[in-house]
Amino acid sequence: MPRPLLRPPTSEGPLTRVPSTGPTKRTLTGDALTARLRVKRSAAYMTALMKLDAGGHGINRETARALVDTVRIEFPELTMDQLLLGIVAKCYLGEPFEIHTLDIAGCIVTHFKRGEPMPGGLEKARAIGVNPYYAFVEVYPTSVRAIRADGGVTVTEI
Amino acid sequence: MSSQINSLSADVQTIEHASVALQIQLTSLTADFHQFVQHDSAHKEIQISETRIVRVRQEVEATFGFYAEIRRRATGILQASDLAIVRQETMRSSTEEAMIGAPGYWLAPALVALSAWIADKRELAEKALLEAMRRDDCKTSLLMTLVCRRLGRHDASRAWLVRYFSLQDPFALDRDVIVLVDALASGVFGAASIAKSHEAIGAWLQEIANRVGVIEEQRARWNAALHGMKPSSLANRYPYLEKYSPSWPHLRDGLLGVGINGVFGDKVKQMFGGEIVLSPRLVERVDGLVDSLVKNFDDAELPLRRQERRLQLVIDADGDRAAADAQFAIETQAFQEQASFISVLTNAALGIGVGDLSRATQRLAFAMSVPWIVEAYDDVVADVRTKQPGTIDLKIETWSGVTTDGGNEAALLEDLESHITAEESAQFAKLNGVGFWWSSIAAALCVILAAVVHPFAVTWLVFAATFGTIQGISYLMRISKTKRLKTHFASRREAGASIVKALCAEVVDLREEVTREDARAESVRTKLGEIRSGEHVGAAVEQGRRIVA
Repeated sequence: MPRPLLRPPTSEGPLTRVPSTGPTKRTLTGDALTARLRVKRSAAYMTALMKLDAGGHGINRETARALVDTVRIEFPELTMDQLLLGIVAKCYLGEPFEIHTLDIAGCIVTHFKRGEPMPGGLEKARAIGVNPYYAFVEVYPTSVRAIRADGGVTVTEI
Repeated sequence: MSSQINSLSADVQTIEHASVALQIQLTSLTADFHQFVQHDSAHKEIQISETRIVRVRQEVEATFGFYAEIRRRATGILQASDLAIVRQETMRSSTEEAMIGAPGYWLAPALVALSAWIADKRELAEKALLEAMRRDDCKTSLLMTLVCRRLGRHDASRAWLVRYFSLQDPFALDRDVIVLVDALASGVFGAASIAKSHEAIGAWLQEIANRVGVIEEQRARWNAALHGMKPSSLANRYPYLEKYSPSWPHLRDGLLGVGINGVFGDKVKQMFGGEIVLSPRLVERVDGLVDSLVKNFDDAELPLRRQERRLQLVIDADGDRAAADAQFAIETQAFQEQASFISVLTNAALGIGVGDLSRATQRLAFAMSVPWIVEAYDDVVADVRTKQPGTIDLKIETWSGVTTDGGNEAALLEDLESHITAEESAQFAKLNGVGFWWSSIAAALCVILAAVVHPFAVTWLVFAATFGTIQGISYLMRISKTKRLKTHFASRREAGASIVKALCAEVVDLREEVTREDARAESVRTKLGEIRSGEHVGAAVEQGRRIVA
């Protein structure tokens, strides 16, 4: 058993607000999961994902896979079904492209034109995805988490 | 026959018009009836609430009226002692009388202790104090903290404060902890006590931050409170979109949503704008706090206070029980016997609960709550942004179009033109169809039959002439109808084009307004980020080191 980082677990439960960095995986549920997903995103994660359209139209599968790995490293405690569906971000390739996505399951980066519908439940993040105040948006089955450039998380339940 | 058909057609049209008029009247009557029922129901709710609130207040007076008398004596004794115009014997008998009249009430022995202390009767003072602490240790400790501070006994005041903190569980604090925040905000404490409070409050907040669910609960309360700041109505600035856009309900909701930024921004500005003038005399500030402590935080009164507030909210909401219930749902935690420290801060920052809070206290409580207020505000802003419709549907009669920002006006006009042209062509095609020529065909057949069937030739020729006449009349009618159709489509083109132009202009204005109001969210956020709780701790009257809480 790894030594608890801050203090021993109390009868009230472990300090689930602090993200685990140790090798042991513990499934998070309920409030603990919600709290974990609200933790400010790491600098490495932000740097990697803010360059989603840096490769232009021709981002290859390896690069996309590396980005998906970055997502998995950021959330080591999450099980596959808890992991986000994809990332949606404002596209800076210019007209007619409006938005691009990173599909976590398929490891694909796709650019979408204005008005072109996005598949796999990502469309619900379109309005906030194009908003310039957020670096990108994480899309979950029942929520959308818009991430600011400083890693701050805002949550919208869908 | 033709005239009969025309007459019948006219009659049908008259009935149709009458039916439409009747339908409109019926709809209006139904709306009026619903309005009357709502108004009547609201009126009854107000009457019932007003009657009940009087009864609740009478019950408070009947049950706790004697307490009110004792409470008035708390500051009365302190001020009388300052002036030295009341005999110690009077004070003693008055407090002892209160002790006998209010069994079980913590303040009675506390007052006995106070008067014994003034009379320098140490043994009686200690005995009475022990009894007061047995009845309510927290309130007695806080009262003695304030009293010692008032009398300039700094070490004793700090000792009582340390005792008060040691009794607290940050997850289940008595409501009176807000008096402590009030004391910090109004600069009652000296440097040592401020430092102690800073240390204890910091530890509480740390402990709370480490437990999942507590901050989430307060964030949810702020979220609800912020959503409650959404304006309820919109000035009629976009009449064309309201009439010609099926997306209007979403657009309206989006516009009202961004309105939260202005309302909340103004509230923040109002709360932190201007200087708060505190009484220069320490004793006045302490007396205010002692008054608040003894008046507002007795749990025995809480059920009745809760009822009273609920009824008051119904009256304030003009009998709208749903609105009152929604507001009470936000306030309900302020009427619980115990709550977490951040819940107490939320109540104070929102200005809810029993008793009036000073602006300085509200300001400090808000400043201490800023981290989760920012999180809740971010969520509300993101929610509003998510719900802004990306595309806007337009519909004028049978034509429909889509725009994003009103920039595709030319394309929309072109589309509308082609749509109207297609409809016009269809109408003219219908007018010139085979049906129009049936009487000519019939006339030609009759002429052929007249040529072939000689015995009835005259009869067939009469028929042929009749059909020929009908064709002639139809032709004349077609000329008139063609003229009418041309006028109709020309006016539709003209009206449609002007509506599309007006719609695009409104879409541009609406998008600009949403962008402008949405940008306010960032300035509100920056303003919130600049709030530091330490800057809102009141300066102590005495000279001393000021420590940021």
